[in-house]
Amino acid sequence: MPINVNNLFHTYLKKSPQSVEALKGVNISIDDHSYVAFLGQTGSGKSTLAQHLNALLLPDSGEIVIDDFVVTPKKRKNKKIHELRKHVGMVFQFPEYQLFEETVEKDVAFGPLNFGSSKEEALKLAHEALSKVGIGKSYYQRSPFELSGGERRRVALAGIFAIKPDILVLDEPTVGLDHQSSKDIMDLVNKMYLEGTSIILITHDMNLVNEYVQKVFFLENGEVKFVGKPTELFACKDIDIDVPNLYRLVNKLNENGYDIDLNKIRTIKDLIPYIKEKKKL
Amino acid sequence: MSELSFGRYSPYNTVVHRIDPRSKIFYMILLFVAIFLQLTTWSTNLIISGLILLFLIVVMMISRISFRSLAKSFVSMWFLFIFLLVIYVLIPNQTYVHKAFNLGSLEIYYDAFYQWGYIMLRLVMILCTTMILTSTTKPMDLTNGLEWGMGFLKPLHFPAHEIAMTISIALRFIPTILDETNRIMKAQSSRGVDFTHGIIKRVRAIVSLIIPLFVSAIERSEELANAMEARGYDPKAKRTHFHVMRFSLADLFSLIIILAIFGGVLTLFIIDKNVQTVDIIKFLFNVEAGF
Repeated sequence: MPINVNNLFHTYLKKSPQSVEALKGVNISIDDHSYVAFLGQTGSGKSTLAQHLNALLLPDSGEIVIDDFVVTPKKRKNKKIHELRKHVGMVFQFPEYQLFEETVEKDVAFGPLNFGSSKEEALKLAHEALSKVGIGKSYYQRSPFELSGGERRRVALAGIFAIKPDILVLDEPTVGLDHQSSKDIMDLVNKMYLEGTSIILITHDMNLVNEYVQKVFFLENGEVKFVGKPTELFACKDIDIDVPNLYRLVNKLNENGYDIDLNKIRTIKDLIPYIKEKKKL
Repeated sequence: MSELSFGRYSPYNTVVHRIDPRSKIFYMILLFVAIFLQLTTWSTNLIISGLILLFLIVVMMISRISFRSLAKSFVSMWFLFIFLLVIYVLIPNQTYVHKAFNLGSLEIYYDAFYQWGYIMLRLVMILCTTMILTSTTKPMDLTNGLEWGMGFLKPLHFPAHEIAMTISIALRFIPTILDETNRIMKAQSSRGVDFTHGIIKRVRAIVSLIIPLFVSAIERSEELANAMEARGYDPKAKRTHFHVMRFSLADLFSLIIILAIFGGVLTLFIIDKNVQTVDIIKFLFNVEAGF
């Protein structure tokens, strides 16, 4: 599902002394089946933008067009919000805080049930999603509150996966996890992508951006400041970001006689053939 | 960033904001007493209440409180309003005398409507008063004021500081928990929960909100307790305050105004009870008011 955001404005706590202009005329378009990232400092408006995509926030002015859904400032016009939320799944920071059912299985089935699946269907979807995130059968009847942090997060993710959204928005999904758990989760997300889901990732981790993302939107003070490939962003001097080490390494190698296409290097493994080839010469 | 903003501190710098929190707490108590003193004639009651309400509205305008958030909190209380109306109108009371009409075999009295209206009016005034206090006073100042107010009980081993600390932590966490509520609501909405339509749906939706909220609140309180202990918090220790509260000119003026209101109402009340029935309408226009 392609996404078009047209001239989007949003202000928090309007007409009060704490009012914050979070988005000031954002225009973006995201193609069908793509893997993009919203980047920017905290307070740049990336989470606000993301929450407009499934109408959790309504714009003050402007509109969001997703397939044949249109999110507008007027509440009454947004009749199909419920349906839209089935298509656009949203994973918040620390999603484990949304767990509440007695058993893991029930919690994951909660979403599909809300979107009109029958009980059997919902359980089937739940089991599918749980096996996708690597939660075994022995966990199905356990309480989500007795699991470890990483397991809880995977269960929470399964809760969204079970809805089978066409677009998946992830707001810093790996924050607070150890390296292996983060990797597991990003592998899962990548799997979703390969199965046809569009991914919108919000993150501060440039290594993730380098590894997975095709196109980045860099936001600053509620405006889109940069749109392009991750490598183009890393090369941009006037944007203050933490350039990933791998990118720096490849750059250094290129300075010293290598000829490596920066866009093709996503993980360290991608570098191996180049180095082997150089050794042969 | 919550919509639920009733009584949340709003950081303006108005005269009302600058009044000492201790004074403000004291005024609130005086106003509550004045609001609840009930005289014999209904017209006088309504006039007095009306004047106090007018005063409160002026104060709210001075302290730049948004009337919208007040109105919002009333709208959310519609159920209470209707419920009270039904109770007052349908339950027979021996003291009612002015009959309005018959509803089947039930006799409906004007008095019931008056009683209901009066209760509503007082409820509105109490809400306004509390709202003025909480939106013009930082929670921390409020509890410091409370602690000072309970200070005279300290020699009796009354845990004034502990209570003040508990209250200030509770107050401190209201916005945090509201934000958390908002966040969890959004997360559950993304999973298809509908928080806006239908009573049964909403009740079921609340379950998916309350449980995660409790879990995170309990986890948070544990963390906070540990963090306080790690920094050597000792409730018994002697402590001084970073900001020392002082009695200022604003306090003096506001004290005079509030005392005038309170004194006026109290005087009328005493005359009404001990000397003769006070009837402002009769006194001013020399006519018999009401029915």
